[in-house]
Amino acid sequence: MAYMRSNALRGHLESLTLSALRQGDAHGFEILRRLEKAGSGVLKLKEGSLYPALYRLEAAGMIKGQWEDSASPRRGPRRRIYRLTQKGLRRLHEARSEFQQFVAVIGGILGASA
Amino acid sequence: MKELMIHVERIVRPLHASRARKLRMRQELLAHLQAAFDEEREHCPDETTAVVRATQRLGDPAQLAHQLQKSLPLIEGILYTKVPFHVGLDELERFSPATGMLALIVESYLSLRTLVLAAPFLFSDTAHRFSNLLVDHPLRCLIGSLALGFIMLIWVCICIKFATTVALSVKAWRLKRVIQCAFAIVGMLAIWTLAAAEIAGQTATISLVGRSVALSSILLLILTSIGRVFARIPRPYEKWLSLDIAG
Repeated sequence: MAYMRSNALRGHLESLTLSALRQGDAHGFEILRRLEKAGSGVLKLKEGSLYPALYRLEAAGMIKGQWEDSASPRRGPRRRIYRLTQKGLRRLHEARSEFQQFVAVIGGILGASA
Repeated sequence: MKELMIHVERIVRPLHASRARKLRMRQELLAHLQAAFDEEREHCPDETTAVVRATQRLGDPAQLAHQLQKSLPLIEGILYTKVPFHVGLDELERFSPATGMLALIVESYLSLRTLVLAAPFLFSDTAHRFSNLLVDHPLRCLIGSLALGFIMLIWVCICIKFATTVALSVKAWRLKRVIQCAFAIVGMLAIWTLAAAEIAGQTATISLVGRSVALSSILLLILTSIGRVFARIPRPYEKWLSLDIAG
């Protein structure tokens, strides 16, 4: 099975991140895990590329980050936990509609409708 | 783990961003890399191989740095870009908010005051009173003040740099540093002479220059003292900056 790499995902990573956060608050590593799990192993991206997307989303107010509680029993560097905001949720709905339209139109032209 | 920190530092150090933001990125990327490393270790007994795999998963440092820079506000990228003499907001920030704030207050005051002194050259019809100038020529005052303010900000930044780094380290005395210091001292003298002359409503005299020298020295001393106090406080980013990321 061919992997779907970063180039093919360009432009969709932010929507995918919002979608992963819909399942609940998560740190960067967990978001990647969720995406890879949802992609059934086909989705492969350079893990670092998630962070610019997270920073853009946070600056746009679509997600909100908060440092992990320092009283956490986990050892190692502190993680930043992100949660979806109302604005992010609205953007996710929009992105879904846009993508459905895209698939319907392009799929129809290519003769490979979903 | 040091190898993981070095990889993170290769990504973050070249960024033009505030220290707070860079520290946040460092912590977050290190947490990610540590998790990737732990995952790799479950399948691979060799630690070195696990480090290589974890860093490869994160991606090429230069490429990631480029992506991260693009994700930051443009204005932040511009503000934290180094300019000649390595003066920038980065310098002010390093020398603690207190020192930076003091310098900004002094700079704001002096730039406005200097504008009054420059009035005869800027306005042909003028009264020398500052309040009159503001009322009659608000736009010119604003532009003049901003232009002079910018030049003086550079002066003040150099002064702070001198006061808190060069003065603390004899080893740092090199030709470039000497030029910076000379520039800073001359700048301070010029500013204070102009300001003192204006305040006294006089032309510059030897006595006025003497007072300027005294005031310049006092200001430099205050900045140095504040700098010394804050320089002793360990900063969370220092362990990162001490890493050798070459290679």
